[in-house]
Amino acid sequence: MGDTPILEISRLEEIFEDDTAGIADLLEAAMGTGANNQATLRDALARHELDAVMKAAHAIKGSTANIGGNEVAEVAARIENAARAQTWDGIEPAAIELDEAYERLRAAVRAYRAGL
Amino acid sequence: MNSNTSTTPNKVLVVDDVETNLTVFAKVVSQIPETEAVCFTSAVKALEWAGQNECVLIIVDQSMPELSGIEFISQVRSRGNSYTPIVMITGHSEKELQREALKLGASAFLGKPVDPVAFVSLARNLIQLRGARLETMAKAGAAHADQQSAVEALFAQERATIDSFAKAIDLRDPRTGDHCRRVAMFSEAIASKMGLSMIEITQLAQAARIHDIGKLSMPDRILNKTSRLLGDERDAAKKHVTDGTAMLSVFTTPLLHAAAEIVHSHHERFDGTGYPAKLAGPAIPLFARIVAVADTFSALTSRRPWREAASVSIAVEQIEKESGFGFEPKIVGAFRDVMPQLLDIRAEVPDLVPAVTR
Repeated sequence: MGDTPILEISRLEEIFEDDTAGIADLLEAAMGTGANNQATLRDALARHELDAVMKAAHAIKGSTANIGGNEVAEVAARIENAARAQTWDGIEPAAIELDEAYERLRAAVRAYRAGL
Repeated sequence: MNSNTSTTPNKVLVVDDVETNLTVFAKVVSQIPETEAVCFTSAVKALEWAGQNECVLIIVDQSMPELSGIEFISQVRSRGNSYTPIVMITGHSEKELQREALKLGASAFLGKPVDPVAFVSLARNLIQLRGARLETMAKAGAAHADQQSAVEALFAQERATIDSFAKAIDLRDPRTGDHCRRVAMFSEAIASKMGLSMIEITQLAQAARIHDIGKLSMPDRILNKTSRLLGDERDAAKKHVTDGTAMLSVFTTPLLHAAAEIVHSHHERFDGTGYPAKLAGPAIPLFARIVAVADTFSALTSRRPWREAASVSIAVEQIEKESGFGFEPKIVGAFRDVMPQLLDIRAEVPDLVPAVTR
C-alpha cells in the first residue's frame, strides 16, 4: 500500500454534487463489477495468458479510475503495462497487491455508505 | 445499460462496456445544458442507434469487447456521419492509437479518470462547433438550392422562348418548320457521334430548331417562289441569316446566344467562302459547322417546287465532296457514321412538299 488514496471520493462529489446516495449506489455497482473483473484476472493468471491478463487488468483500471479507486487503478495499470511488455516480472506479486487493494477499497465503500 | 431515448433534443451518445463508467459519464453529461446522455454498453447496439438518431456528441471508450473505439469511429464515419464530434476515451500515453483514431475521424481524446470540468468544457466546445458547422452546411445547401432553382427557371424560360420561335416559324411556313425540326435532330445525332457533352448536345438540339428564324422576315415573293431564286432574290434570301441574328440579338442567355451563333453562321463554309462573314475553319462556331452539314443534307433530300429531292446517296456524295471545303471533315465523318439514324429521322419528319408538277 503506497501513498495513492484508496478512494478519492472528492472526484465523485464533484460530479454527483450532493447526490450522495447516487455516489453510494455507483460505488456498490463498481464493487460488483470489480468482483467479476478480479475473477477474470485470476482465471487469466491461472491460464498463464499474458494477453488475457492485460485485458483484465485494463478493465479493472478503467472501471476503478473513474470512481476514484485510485490505488486499485494504479496497481492494475502496473499489471497491464507488464503484460503489454510481454513480461511476467512483477505480475504475480502485483496481483496479490491488487486483491489487497480491492479489499481496502471495499472497506472504504462500506464506510462511505455507513456514514451517510 | 441503455437509458431512455426520449424527448430532450440534444443527445450525447456514450459507449463504454463498463456500466459504472456510463453512470459517471451520464452524470457529467447532465452538467452540459440542454443535453442528456444515451448510454450503451454494447458498441454494436450503439452503432445501430447512431444510424437512426441524431446526437450532438459521441463519447466512446477504446477498449470494448465487440468493437474497439477505433472500429466504432470508423464505422460511424463510413456511414456518412462526418459532422458529429467524437471523443475517444483512451490512455494519455497511447499516442499511436490516438493518431490512428484521428485519421479515422476522432475529434478529441479524454483519459480516465475523466476530469468533469475538462470534459464539460471540451464537450460544450465540440457541440458548439458542430452547430456552427451544420449551420454553414445548411446555408451552403440553401444557397446551392436557390442557385439550382434559378438556373432551372432560366433553362425553362430559354426553352419556352425557343418553343415560341419554332411555333412562329411553323405558322409562317410549315415546310421550313419541318426542315428546322429535321436539322435539329440531324445535328443532335452528329454531335452525339462526335462525342460532345450531354449539355452541348441538348443545347445544340434546341438551338438548331430555330436556325432559319430569319425566314420570318423573308418576303412572301421569295419564301413562296416556286422557281429557282435568281440574282437579287438570292441576295434577299441570304439576308435571313442577318435578319435572324438581329431578332435574337437582345438575348444574352446561353441557349439563345448559341442559337444566335447558329443562325448567323450556318451558311459559312469551312474554306472561308460562305456568308455572311466569310469565316473559316474553327472561326465558325462549332454548332454552326454541325448545323451546316445537317442543313445541307435536309435541303438536298427535300423537294423544292422547281426540283425533285436528291436521293440519299447523291446527297451524301455531294456532302462528302465538300469535305474540307464547305464542311469540316470530322463532322462529315460523323455525319456518314450516323446515316442510319438520319434516315430514321427523315422517316419520322418527312418532307411533305408535293411532288413537282411540270
